[in-house]
Amino acid sequence: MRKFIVLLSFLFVINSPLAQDNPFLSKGKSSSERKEVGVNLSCPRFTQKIIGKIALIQRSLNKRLTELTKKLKERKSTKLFFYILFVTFAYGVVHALGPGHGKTLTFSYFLSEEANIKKGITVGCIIGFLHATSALTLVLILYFTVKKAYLHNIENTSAAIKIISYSLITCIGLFLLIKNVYEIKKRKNIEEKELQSLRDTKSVVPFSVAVGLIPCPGATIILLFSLSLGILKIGIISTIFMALGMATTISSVGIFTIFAKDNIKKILSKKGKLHSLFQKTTSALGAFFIFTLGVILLLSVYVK
Amino acid sequence: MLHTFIIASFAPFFLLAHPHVFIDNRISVIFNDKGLKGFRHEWVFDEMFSSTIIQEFDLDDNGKFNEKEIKEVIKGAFSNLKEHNYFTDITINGNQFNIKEFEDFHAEIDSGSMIYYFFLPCEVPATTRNQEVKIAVYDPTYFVQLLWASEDPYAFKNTSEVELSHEVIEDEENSYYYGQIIPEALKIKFRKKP
Repeated sequence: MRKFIVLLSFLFVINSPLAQDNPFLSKGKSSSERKEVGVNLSCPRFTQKIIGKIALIQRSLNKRLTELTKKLKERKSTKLFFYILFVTFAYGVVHALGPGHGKTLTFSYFLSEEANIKKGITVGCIIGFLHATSALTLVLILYFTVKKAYLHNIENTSAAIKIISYSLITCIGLFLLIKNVYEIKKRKNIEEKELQSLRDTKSVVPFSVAVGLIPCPGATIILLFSLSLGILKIGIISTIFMALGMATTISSVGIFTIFAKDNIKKILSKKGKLHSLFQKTTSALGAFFIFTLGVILLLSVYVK
Repeated sequence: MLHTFIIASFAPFFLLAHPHVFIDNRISVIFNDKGLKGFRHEWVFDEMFSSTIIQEFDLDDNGKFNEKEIKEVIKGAFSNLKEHNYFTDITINGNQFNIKEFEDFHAEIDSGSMIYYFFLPCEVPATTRNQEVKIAVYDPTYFVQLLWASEDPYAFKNTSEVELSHEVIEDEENSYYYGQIIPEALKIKFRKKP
């Protein structure tokens, strides 16, 4: 149990809700405010090390990808092309490992909802692909219309999409919360609920769409970079592989949560009452997390 | 244990970023005959992010920024950093220093990378007693990862009137992202030459 809590803490620490504004373009919080937020908090040394390592790997992958893409522009090579796809996939995996990309939300969602591996993968894939496709759609629209000020236009549109996404997340959290309270009140049979919920893979779609809607700034940068080199097609294929990488990471978070929860339930299943209590608590807690995250994200848009 | 868990559980509610932009950072610590004058920054951006800025602001597409374009860069992709304190945290003898404005901004493009140069005034007179100034450069929102450049990360200019010592420290006081990242700060001690 102790190990499980440590793992949970770690998962939470390295994760954060969604994308951040580009500080070069959008208004930030005042420095004193920012200082207060981080004050007097300490973090386990190993977490600091892991976060630092992830960022360094991302930095070197970013550099590698730049060099390879420039090389490919100079000389067409199938080998190089596949190598680029591999690097963008790895970049996607590592990129989604850093904070953002809805991992905390995915974790909370599977805490709340009954799920199996199939559902875990579905959520990861929808979020990963939508996150990248959203960026791709925006870049393409701008490419075929205004053809300039990509960065500013993307930032402005993303701001609007964020509000939609955060509102949806809040609504879904609230819906799950009400559903949970209703089920507890109705004393619905736990096994019956689990079976019913497991059969229904489609139920994960609204949540995944709400989270994945926001254009991924990382994918946007790759696309604009390939556009600047005049090889947009390669940028588009790279983005798809990056999405695949992100989907792998997010799915893993989902599967990890489901697996951990199932294991605890197996242990508790010998004690009927505890099992039911665990089930109810995690469900309500997960829903509460989603709702609170939604509200805080919404507030972060309006309160600067 | 509980402490860690509580922090860890609530941290993600406020954290909202991860590096999308990578900067190699150099600082020149500039003195004059009165003491410390300020810091000159040199930021070399990663090529990918550079390309997005260059596409937007190199309007004549000649691979260089002219004066008019630099003005646009300031307006569109720099002046907003005031809200973020130009990613610079300075303390003088342990007291926070408020950065007011930047001076001498210049942007150029070098082999695909965009470079920003700018000066942040921070006047501290040299006296007979040691003055201690600490500077850390980081983005608390972590959208940008700023690291010291691998070659000549810092330099000292016009130091003939002062006695000077310096060290690079792990600036735990300024750990950000809920203590997850500790920036490296440059700590300088100086006094008037006897």
